[in-house]
Amino acid sequence: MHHEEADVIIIGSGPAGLQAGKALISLGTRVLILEKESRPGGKLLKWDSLFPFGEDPAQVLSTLIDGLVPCLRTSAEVVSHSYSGGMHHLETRGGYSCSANALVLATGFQPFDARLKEEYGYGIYENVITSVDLEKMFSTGRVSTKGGQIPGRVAMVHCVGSRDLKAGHEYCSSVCCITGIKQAMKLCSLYPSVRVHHLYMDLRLGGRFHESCYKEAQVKYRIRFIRGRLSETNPGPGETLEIRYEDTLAGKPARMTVDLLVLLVGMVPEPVKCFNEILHTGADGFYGDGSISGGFAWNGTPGNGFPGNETPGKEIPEKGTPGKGISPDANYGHKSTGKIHNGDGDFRNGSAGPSGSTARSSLFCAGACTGPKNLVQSLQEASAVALEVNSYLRNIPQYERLYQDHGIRI
Amino acid sequence: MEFGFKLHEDLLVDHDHSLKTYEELLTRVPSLAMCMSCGSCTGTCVAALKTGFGFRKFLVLLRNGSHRELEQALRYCQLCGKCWLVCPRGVNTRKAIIEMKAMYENKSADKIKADPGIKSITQGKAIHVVTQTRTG
Repeated sequence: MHHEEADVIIIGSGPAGLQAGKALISLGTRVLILEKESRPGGKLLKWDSLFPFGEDPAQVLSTLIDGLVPCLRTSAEVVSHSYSGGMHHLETRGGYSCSANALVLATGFQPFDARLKEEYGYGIYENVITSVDLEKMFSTGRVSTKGGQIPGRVAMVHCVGSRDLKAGHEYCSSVCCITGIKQAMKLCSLYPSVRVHHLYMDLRLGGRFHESCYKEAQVKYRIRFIRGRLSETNPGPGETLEIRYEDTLAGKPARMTVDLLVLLVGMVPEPVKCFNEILHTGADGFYGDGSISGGFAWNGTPGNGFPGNETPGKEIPEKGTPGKGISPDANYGHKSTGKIHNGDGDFRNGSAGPSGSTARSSLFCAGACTGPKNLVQSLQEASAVALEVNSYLRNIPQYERLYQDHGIRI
Repeated sequence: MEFGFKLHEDLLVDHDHSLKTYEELLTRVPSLAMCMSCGSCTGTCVAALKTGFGFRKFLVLLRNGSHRELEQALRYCQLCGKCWLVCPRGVNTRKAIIEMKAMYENKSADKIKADPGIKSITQGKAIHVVTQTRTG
């Protein structure tokens, strides 16, 4: 199979990968985008409409993909990675291989497997579905119970697989609240007779215009918000389900009969296997450590000869001993300890700070693979990462390029 | 027959019940739909200090169909309107309380005849009821 070379390889053709690719091409770099599925677009292909305004994902995708088709390699799942001669070498399942100076991981996330929350009944009762399933139903234009009826009463459960130690994910997935509200409004506009109830603990609506979606749901669609977390799902009469929870604002146990139960599933990290040895993940399993100085482009294991550290004239600060250099490829492949911030916290090789004296990584991450984020945040991050990649490739100290572009003297 | 003990009232809230009363009130006070249960109203309420009730809870009781408890709790509102001043979403709480009171007044004439419990409250045993509600 054939081999290709580029300046940058982007793994993943979801919104973050495509946006980073677009930005990098506009900066004059040669880009390759690898997609493991047969179609580019990532999770954009799975949604029927986008919050907060219900935009069509197909339209967003076609704008993103415009001009990128020559760079896209589909059905190209990366199975092995090596680093030599200042280049990253990747091999895919199909035997295709490619090399580049820099690598951007935009590998996204997976929806939480709701079957793991057994008490919620997903996979046991047919009328328990996830937000992903509901989105699929929206695409077909018809939402119905398994028996083909239009649901009269629907409950939406927040935080399924999020903020849950037993489910293995203690973080907030940040997009489920607004997704649930978007879906509830869509459901009510499709079937005005349907009554939607939300079971929430807090509503985390941090994004722009998300709060106005909440208000619209309350005022226009009369969607009912009940504070409490679902405890259990039981079969009810006929096709229905009986759910139990506490109405925590009333301070009393409560029950409800529903025709359809929608579980708003969270985001689960999906690290790429062949990078497990060299990439650091936080306690939540997403790439990076979430610190501000760690940034969105970072070197997972400072001081162990990480790819990119061979940049001439630059040294890697080892943990607690700034300036102590280690030769390239010295401990390459060394398992990350996850303790990149001990010592005096001098780690800042990847991205942060205008300091040109620290070594820089040639490995970058963008999008939801560095933690739950919505589409807008992913696109913003991808654009910023593209600037970092460009400044790495051209060996320009961080941010100086930005300043130059804006005519600022530093 | 007297067994020396009483059955505890079922505390389970049944959310299948009809929201007719709440929806009727919504047509008169549309801003009610905007409540996000922040509790600013209760925090500022002078009656809440002594009774534990406030507008946020009134609304929960109404939506949960706990009419009896609500009718009793509403008696402590002095209609000062402080809750209306602090509400961040601009819910017309004072009007909602007046409308709720009016609704119960129209309906309770029959109830007072039928239910000696409510009759006794109207005869000035309010404090007793509060104690019951807070401990129960």
